[in-house]
Amino acid sequence: MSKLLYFAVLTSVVGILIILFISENKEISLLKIDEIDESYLDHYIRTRGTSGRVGLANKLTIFDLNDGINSIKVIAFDNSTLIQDGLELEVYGLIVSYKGELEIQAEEIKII
Amino acid sequence: MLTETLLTIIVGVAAGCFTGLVPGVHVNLIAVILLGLSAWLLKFTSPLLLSVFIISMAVTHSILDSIPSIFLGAPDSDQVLNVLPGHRLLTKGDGYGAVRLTLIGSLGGLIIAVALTYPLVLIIERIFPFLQKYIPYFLIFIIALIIIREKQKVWAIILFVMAGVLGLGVFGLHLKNPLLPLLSGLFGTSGLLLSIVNKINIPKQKFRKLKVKTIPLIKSIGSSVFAGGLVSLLPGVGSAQASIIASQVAGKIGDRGFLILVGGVNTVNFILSFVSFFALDKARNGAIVVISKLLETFTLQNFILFIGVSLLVGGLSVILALIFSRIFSKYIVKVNYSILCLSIIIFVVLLVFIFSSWLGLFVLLVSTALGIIPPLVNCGRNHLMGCLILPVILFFLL
Repeated sequence: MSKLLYFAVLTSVVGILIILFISENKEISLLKIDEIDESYLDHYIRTRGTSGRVGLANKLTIFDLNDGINSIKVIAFDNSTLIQDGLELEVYGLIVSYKGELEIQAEEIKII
Repeated sequence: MLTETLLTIIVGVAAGCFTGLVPGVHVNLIAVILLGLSAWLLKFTSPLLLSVFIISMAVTHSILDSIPSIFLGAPDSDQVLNVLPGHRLLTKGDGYGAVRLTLIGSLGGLIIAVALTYPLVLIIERIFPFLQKYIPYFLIFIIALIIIREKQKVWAIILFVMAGVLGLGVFGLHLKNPLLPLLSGLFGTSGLLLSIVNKINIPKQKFRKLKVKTIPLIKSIGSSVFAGGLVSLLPGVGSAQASIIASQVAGKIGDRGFLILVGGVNTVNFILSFVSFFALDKARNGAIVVISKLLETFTLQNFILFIGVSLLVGGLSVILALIFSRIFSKYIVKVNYSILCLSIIIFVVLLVFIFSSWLGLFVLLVSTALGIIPPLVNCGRNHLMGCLILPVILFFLL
């Protein structure tokens, strides 16, 4: 095995292990709702706000998350009755686009 | 209105030349900036003209971005696979010919995608739910096929798995632009570094047409339409993954056929993303998302206008691409290639630092190290696409 190949394999393996370690322990920084734009499409984000217009459908909870100035729709694939209007929530999820509007497909919702 | 539209198209094409020829600058980035400035811009123009500008820029970009990937070895995420055969042709003096092949793919794919627009609207509405269910199994099958066809099977599996784990780790870092350091390292800087180490010299370039037989040509363009369709429909499937799938479906098309295929995919994807948006109300790329925000409704008239603009811009861009590739071919032999490679590496490092900070630089280092391995063990670099394919498979399965 040439020295370059040995060095490349060693760097890759050690580097991948470090990246895995960091990704397991990294906190996603909190974004304000007005900071969420198209550049975050298909990315995970964390944001906070107050729930409003909560609607329950078959296996879905849909509500607006607003911070007093801006709002964004949140979709939770879970028919949870815990989410009601007026709750302070922290939402972690994937930014998607539906009918031209950005939405959060929630993976975690915490009541603050 | 016609004069304004034509002027807007010209400005859009100029912007597309900038984004297409400068490595690391993507049309989605410009589109997002435009949306941010839209409130001010709409004092001087209309949402429709702004949308025409974005489409002109995006189509031009999709046609011209093969030039930096072939001549400079600096691809963006949609062109990573054409670096490999493109660079091979460049080192044989056929850089211009390589670009010309990608242009055949772009223009051919564009014309066929436009011609098939109406039937595609009907087909997409029907097959989309079915396709979503089976895509991970289809991807697994394709990966197995690619590995079986590789001479160095063990290394192919190792590289696929390492790249897949790297991809999973990088997406878990939640970087703002994870693809930039990941793909630049695997397919860009690694190749440039090896060119410096191996003291590659670019020979005098020939301005000749590289011929492709009719059947591989038809297969390649057809496959690019198929691959472009997959990208426009399925979340998580990018041009590079779709190109691999399409190349397996197409069979033996060689380096030249593969360049035609990769050249077509991105252009076709952009056209078909209008179709997806019109038929399914799903915006699958950043530029279309911005257009959907600018226009209150996406009517059939808008759809027809955008298709017409795409055809006009496609023709113009191919002419421009031929001119630019002649210029690149003429001047590439006059520069010291090692210094050029080093300059591009430094440029990519700066870009990664600006867009993805220190963590992005670390990812670039690791992905470069991994990207160096395949040529050293005589294995195909395409297995490194595991960095995107494995996360997509797991996304659909879990």
